[in-house]
Amino acid sequence: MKVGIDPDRSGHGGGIMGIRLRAGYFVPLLVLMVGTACAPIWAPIDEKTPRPFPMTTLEMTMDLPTGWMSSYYAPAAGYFFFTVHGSELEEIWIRRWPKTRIVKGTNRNLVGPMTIQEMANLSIDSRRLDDGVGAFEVVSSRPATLDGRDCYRLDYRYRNQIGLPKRTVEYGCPVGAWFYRFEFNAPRQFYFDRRLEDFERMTRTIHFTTKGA
Amino acid sequence: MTGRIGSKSKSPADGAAAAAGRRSPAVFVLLFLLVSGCAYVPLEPFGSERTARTLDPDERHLWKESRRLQHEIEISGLLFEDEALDRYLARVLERVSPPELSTALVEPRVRVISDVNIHGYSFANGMIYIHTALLSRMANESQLATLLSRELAHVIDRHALRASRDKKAQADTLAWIGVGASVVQGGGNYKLLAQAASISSLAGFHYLLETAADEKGLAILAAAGYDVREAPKFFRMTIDHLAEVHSQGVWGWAPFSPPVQMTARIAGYEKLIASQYGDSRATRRQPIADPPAFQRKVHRATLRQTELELAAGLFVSAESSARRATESDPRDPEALVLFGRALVGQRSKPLPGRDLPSIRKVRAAFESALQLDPRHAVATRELGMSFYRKTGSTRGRKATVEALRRFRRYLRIAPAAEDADYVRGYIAELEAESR
Repeated sequence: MKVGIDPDRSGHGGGIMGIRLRAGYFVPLLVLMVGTACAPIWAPIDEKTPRPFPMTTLEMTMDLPTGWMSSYYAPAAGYFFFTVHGSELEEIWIRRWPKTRIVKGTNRNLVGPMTIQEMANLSIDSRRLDDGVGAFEVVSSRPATLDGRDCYRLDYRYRNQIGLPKRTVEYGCPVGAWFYRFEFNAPRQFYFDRRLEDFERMTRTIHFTTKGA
Repeated sequence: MTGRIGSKSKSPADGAAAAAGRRSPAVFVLLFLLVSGCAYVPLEPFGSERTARTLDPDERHLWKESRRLQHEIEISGLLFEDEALDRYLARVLERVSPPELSTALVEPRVRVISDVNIHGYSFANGMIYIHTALLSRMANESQLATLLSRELAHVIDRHALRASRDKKAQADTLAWIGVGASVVQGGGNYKLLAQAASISSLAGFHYLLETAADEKGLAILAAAGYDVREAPKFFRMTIDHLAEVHSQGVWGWAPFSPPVQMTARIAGYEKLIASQYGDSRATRRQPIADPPAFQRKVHRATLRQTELELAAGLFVSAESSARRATESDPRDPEALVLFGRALVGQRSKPLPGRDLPSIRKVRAAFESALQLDPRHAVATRELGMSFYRKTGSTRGRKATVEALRRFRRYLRIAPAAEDADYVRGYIAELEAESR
């Protein structure tokens, strides 16, 4: 059974660059290509997942939350994304960016002498102005420690673009030239309380391996 | 007529004429296409003949879509809630609403949205939204009436429907707002705006429709007894605002209307006013609220706008908004606190060519707020922060003492404040430093 190149039909009139697929193989291959390109591929987090999990693109390690799914392609894009039932119901985002980058919507960055509270306030400002964020309300903002480093812990509520009440807990940590953000976001009703401890447990295992920090 | 198609003439002149004649159908077709492409055949306006009960099928769909989006806006928590302001806006809207709207059973409404970007727009069903940014920058009721009259002109002449029928115009509109949304730096609810732009006046209509709205809007404004001379001033303010935003290093900001178009609109208004409303003084009536009363009515919206500008890092704009708020209500400590915060912001992000506000001026703002309300928690904390932040390489002994005093007082006033843990941390640090 030949897949892909059909030598009998290659050459003149044999398709693009002489490669022509038989229709019987072409359709499943097309479906596979479209499917893998469009659909997120999830990797389950279970007992086989290494502990601590090396997150080389972010220069850190931590224990991933068991029972969640990890977006397979996210690390290649420079972040990690976890969920159980889909992003509308619960999501954890782990990202970092250089302190020199303008924080979305705020016309400011994290360079210069800033207190941890001022960094938290910058994140609040960014969220307050964010797309589809209405009725924004800070529940608490307090200093926190992750891996022995000074960070902030923010807890805020808002309504998304379809009016769904959501709640977010976010940690922010300046580490060297980088700013790390760990974020858990879920609908206020049921899902937030149900999965918050998974997130908190995960943050307690964070270890930064950032160069120069 | 020489040169008709099929002419047998052989002379050079006749030949040229014949050639022209052969081209003429193509020319006519081309001209027809060009003219029909540019011309906007007006729809029958709302009135006794065309009412909300006799909508075309696609118009019914447009109204339904408008209601859906309005519902989304209203449940998303983006509306600025101020009942007294809403009542006042409704009264101004009622005053400018021409009788043909009620005849047509169209009930215009107006609400305010908390948004840092200057915008005001209407939907086909008469719903008008004004952003806090735009409302807080208006100087008086005539300027508010200018916006409302113009949006009502769009509604009466069914411009949203006209634009939705013009597929190309709609595609252009969406493309424009798409670009705006992708480059915007200033924050704001751009997904919502992008949706609204497709079925409202937000992104602007074809220039012929906009020009028609200018004329009709001005007529509505004059008929309601407002000072039409305020209209060009209002539109000029939006250009000045955009320049102010740009001067603060924010370039990807969707304008109320591009400055070139707005300049042309202002020129058009001035021409119209000079030619048709030269003696409008005779028909002018007292506004519902005189300028000071108008500023008081929009005072809370101005405070909200200042907060949004602070969040967006537009500290010069925030200073300007806070100053207006201190003028509209000199007894409001909140306005002074926001004014002080705008100065702090400017000190943290200096702009080239602009003098840095002195720390003395910053402290004076918070102290003034505390004179009005000695137990104002945020003013107390911010005054403490003004001493806590080092103004040089070290913090002086006096600054440490003052910061400690203010922070301790803050915790006494607001022991359960959301940021109390941070302040306890500052106190611990200062105490360790002063030992």
